[in-house]
Amino acid sequence: MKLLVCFILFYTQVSFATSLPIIAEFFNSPKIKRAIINPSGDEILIKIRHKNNYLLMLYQLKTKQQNVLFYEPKQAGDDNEVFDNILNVTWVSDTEILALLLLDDGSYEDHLMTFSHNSDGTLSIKRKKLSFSGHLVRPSRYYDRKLIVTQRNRHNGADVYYVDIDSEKRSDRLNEDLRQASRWLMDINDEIKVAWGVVENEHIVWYRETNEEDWAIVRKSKNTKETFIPILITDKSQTILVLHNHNRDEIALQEFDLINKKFGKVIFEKKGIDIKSISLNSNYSALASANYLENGVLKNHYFNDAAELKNNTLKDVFPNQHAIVVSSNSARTQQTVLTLNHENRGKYFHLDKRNNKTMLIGSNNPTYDVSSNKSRIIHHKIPTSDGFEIESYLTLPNNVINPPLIVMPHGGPIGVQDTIYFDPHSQLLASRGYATLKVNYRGSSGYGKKFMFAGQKQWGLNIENDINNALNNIIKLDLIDQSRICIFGSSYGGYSALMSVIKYPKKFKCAISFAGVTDIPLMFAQDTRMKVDAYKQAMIDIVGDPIKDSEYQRHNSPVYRYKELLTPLLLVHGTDDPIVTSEHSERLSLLLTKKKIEHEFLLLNGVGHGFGSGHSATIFYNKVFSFLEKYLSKKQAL
Amino acid sequence: MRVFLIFSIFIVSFFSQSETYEKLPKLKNNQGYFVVSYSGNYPPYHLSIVSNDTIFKSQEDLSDFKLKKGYRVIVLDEGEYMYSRLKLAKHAGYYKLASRELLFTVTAGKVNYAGDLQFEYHHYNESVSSKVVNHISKTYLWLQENHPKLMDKRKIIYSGLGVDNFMNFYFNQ
Repeated sequence: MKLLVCFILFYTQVSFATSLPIIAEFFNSPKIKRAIINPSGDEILIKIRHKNNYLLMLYQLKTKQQNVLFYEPKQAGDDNEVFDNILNVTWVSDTEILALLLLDDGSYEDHLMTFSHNSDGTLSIKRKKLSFSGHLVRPSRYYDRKLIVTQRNRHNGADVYYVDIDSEKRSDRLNEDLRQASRWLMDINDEIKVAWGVVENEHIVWYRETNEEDWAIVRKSKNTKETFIPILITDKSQTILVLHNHNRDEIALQEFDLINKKFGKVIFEKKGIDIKSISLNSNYSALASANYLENGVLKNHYFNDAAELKNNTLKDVFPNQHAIVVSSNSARTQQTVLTLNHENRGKYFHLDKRNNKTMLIGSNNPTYDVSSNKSRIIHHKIPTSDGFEIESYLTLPNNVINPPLIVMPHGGPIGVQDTIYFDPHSQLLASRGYATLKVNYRGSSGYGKKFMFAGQKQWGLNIENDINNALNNIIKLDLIDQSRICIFGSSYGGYSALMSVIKYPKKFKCAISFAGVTDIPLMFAQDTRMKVDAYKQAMIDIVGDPIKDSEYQRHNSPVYRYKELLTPLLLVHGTDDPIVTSEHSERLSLLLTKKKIEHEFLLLNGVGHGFGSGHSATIFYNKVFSFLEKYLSKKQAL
Repeated sequence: MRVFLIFSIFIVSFFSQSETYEKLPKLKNNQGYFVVSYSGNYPPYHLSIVSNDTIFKSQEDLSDFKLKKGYRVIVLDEGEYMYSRLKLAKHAGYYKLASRELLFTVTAGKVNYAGDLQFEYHHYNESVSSKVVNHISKTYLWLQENHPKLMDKRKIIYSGLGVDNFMNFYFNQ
């Protein structure tokens, strides 16, 4: 076991300079998924990948002693996927860890692991399966040995309980007779006052002032375009704070009066930008920050000076990084911090706040020499003729003048947003000398609902126009070689790649579609998901009705316009894709083969809608690199 | 007459294992070929197809599957059917398959395909989940390879959930 521990330490902390980065390392499951400090602040629990599983390791800050607390290898999936059987883990005390473990049959169990350090450096561990099962929300504010736990019920909701760690006894349901709600808000006394959930496609919010009262419905909405998320019960009587976009474009934080059912003071809003999330203070009783993406960068608006000061300290300690406090000890002097940026997939640090000293716990980055492969990102915005603004991010490889460009439309197309943060595709391509362009075309999230829903029924139309306009502007910057441009995307991005070469054949030297939609009508006949009314309606909203809009759907389907697909094509699809079935690529390939239109087609056995492992990503990218080499290697006359 | 017709539905089924490519029987005027395409984590022991007639249901029991995935071409009278139940071992019970979503039609004179029946047996609660996924292109290629004469004479059509006219488009190109 000691050997194993040593191996892990070096495996996670040492970077090896290699001539070419290893493809799999960009796509493998993160090496470290969690690092949390104990209440005393002298020991860190690290969830770390080992082979195809994760283990729990304890790291003592003073002695640097490492011990494996839990490791139960499980069989990986078809695609050499990592099987993560540790769903959640948290410190209960300095010697106790609560872990939610996933079993082989898909069920889960809560286990309490009690440990003590022996004088010879080993660990004594007792593991007890607890007689309750449920997801830990957080410990009670008032009782050290009580946990707040939720458990799914047969009413499509979740029940809430207190669980006593020592007796393992569960309280009565805190939600009492309200079984259909799935989310809950507690007041400062840990009493549930607000609940919300979806019942028969209707979003419902319930409220009660005291535990003696019946639950009353304060809001009902069938509008799937709206966001309404209760955040915090305020000091004001019968008032909560909600993140919402009801009767407004952007998601903002605003007061909501539960009795009069009216919105009150806007607490925080940002023009043209949706607020993504709200952070609360350490005991969940007050606002800490509103979090949003601006120019692709995560930003925080702090609600008090102390929180802002803490953030400024983090900025000083981790310059050019987005730093997130993952855990703190009880005294708030010791923390674990996760840092991110466009080249950093995630590094965990221990931060001693008394002297701002840091220690790297581990890195999720590929083990190649970042300094020689450094990339830079250029943020760009262009207006559209119909009043929108399209944001794009150009990643440029280091030391390559006028590199070839890969345009990479994101999937979705509705409700997805690209950012400047680490993208394995962009970084891998940059390491091979390719620039990439990511465009938040209309339909992307984060810019208000008008912009997001403007992408509906714009497949092959304004979405691709937005991408093309963004590309035209990037070309004007003269940073890339406009004679060597390829377009590559996954899912909707794969569709977009195919439609873009149909619409703008002279612009692209090649196109790559991974898991791409090729036939819009097929989406209504590809599998039995269409029997679910809500799913079918969501699909109709996005691509139109299969009967009423059949002409639009056929005209904007690559399959029915295959004769225009004369740009070199690479089609790749996973055989087990449950979202866009491989039939999409198979039928396009069938047609192209019949008409002797040159293309390449790769079916990846056992692969789903994305890469479940670095293994399948390696097969894919080996093919992609040889394809790109073939069509983008030489500078060509325009 | 209706009763007579219903009872006289003689569903000629010719079980063609995917690994043995025997001759298919000729169709009567009111009959079509139906491609049974299946995959699961066990070979099926019995797979039943029933007509969707509300009163008089005819049932076709398919058996002797050797593989976890494969094809069979059978002959059915024209009409509406559904996959109804599945048995995975001789002494095991039948699992009811998800009713109407496994509905399909058989058109006389055509090679009918209604999607791949995909099922999974779950050990932890001894249940079976199932879905149907349209892989008509792959099925067409299998038929071309294993029943080329059939494909020379007859068209494959999609007859499952939703409308998919792709093969018609393909044949017209």
